Amino acid sequence: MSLIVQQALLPILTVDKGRVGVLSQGYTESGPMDELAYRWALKLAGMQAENALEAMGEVRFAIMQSGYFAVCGPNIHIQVDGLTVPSWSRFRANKGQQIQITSASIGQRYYVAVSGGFAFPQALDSACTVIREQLGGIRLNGSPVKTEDQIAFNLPVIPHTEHGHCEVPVCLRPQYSLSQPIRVVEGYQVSEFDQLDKMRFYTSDYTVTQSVDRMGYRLSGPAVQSRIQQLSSEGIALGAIQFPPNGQPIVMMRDRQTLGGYPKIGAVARCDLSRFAQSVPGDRIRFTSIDAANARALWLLEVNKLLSLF
Amino acid sequence: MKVCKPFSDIEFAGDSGVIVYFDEGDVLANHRLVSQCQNALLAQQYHWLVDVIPSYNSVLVYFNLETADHHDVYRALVSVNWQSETESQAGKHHVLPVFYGANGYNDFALISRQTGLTDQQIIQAHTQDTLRVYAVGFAPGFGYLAETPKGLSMPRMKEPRKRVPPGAVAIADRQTAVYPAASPGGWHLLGVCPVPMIQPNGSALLATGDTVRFYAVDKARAHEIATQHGMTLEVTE
Repeated sequence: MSLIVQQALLPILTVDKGRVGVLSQGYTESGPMDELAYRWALKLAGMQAENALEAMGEVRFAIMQSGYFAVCGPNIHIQVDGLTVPSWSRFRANKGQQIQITSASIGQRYYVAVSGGFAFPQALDSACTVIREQLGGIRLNGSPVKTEDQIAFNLPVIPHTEHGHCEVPVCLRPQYSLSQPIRVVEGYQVSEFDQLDKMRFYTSDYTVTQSVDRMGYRLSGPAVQSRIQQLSSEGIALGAIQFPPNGQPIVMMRDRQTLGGYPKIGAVARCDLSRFAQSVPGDRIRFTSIDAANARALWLLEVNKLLSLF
Repeated sequence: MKVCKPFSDIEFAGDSGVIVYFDEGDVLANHRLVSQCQNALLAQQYHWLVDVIPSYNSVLVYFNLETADHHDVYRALVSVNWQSETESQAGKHHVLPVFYGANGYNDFALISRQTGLTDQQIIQAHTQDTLRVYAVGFAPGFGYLAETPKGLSMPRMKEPRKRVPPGAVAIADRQTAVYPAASPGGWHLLGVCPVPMIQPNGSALLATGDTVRFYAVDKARAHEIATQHGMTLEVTE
């Protein structure tokens, strides 16, 4: 069972839930940048799918063995042999057919899942590709999937409801609009930021710069300073917002280093991290604070949507 | 949030993390509490515990927010009898060879100028003490070892190197480390360690709480040890 990558202009990464349990050894967490789109793709593909491909831009696959597929992400268009199929849906592609995915916004990520799951090799109990650590991926050396690579998947099982079409209603899909602020759970060194600096942070627009990758997103806007002169390196949580001496925020993402010594005001709430991860250079971001209990409740509601369907 | 001893502070680290701090006034005392806290939490095998990241004076407790919240972590932190339980858990001791002054790994001239030590004194200072692993991070297997003698203390380079070769033994402030893989870096280089920092099964050689003592080897011996480990040194002639 396999598919062959016929065209990939940007690197495609193998992803699963992430490489946890080895953070204390210095390995990065990794995992899907847009966790909600990833989990929806897996949900659509069926119970056996526990991994996916994370891709950007235009991709074409040649299908060597019939199977059920799902592709989730914002602003994408999918065709099977030239016929449009909806994103956020499960569809069948037969042996010899071609799946083409185009993205209206280069830099936004989407997830391709298959009903039996891909047969990715494991490195430290995870399929995640980490280019910087030369770890994981189909060659186990951290190199991304590229044109002409053949990717194996497991025997397709019939998804547990029934064959055929199945689509996530629009009202249940993640919201990607940046018109609402990104919510922040305050913590870490938040008490070392003056009221004025916090106000500036929460009332200013920040622009997503060109320096965005799986490690972190650098933003530019009014500088925010803390009173901290020196800080011992400490564990960096997913979504942590840190301020280097120039006062420009960096949001730490999936492939962040495990330790760092810049002051942090808090971390982007998980319920808004997918939306934030899909921002692209030039987008403008506002932040607002949210109570940790509310942040958790909102995330559980998102997870509940995943459980509610099918 | 202000809390009772032994924590000096507990803060949120996002919606899926709690970070606890210790402030005992010296690095070794903080480190003992960090190690005890880490070991005690891991020993309990909480179903919600995703990972624990220890560092010099803090422990980040990373939890599954779908099955627990910050209060569950607080409850675990205060209820676990971690001080008595894990006192005896000692780390491993490592004896690591270093080919000091190897070509391509040699900042002795800069270190001499800054510290006033001769080459022999630098090697003496770097090998005389048993050092402790205070944290592992920055890159997989990168162990922060401290404390090196005061006289060997070096600031970071103004212009970090774009590429530090793998195995490089480096110093910064009163810390030293072995670079597990090629990476950018701003520490001054002393030589090369021919023992890989990542073991064949992928796990890091050094863990927080381990101890390390360096000893000097010559070029021939360094290559010999490297070959035993299937490692190639980038020593230029």
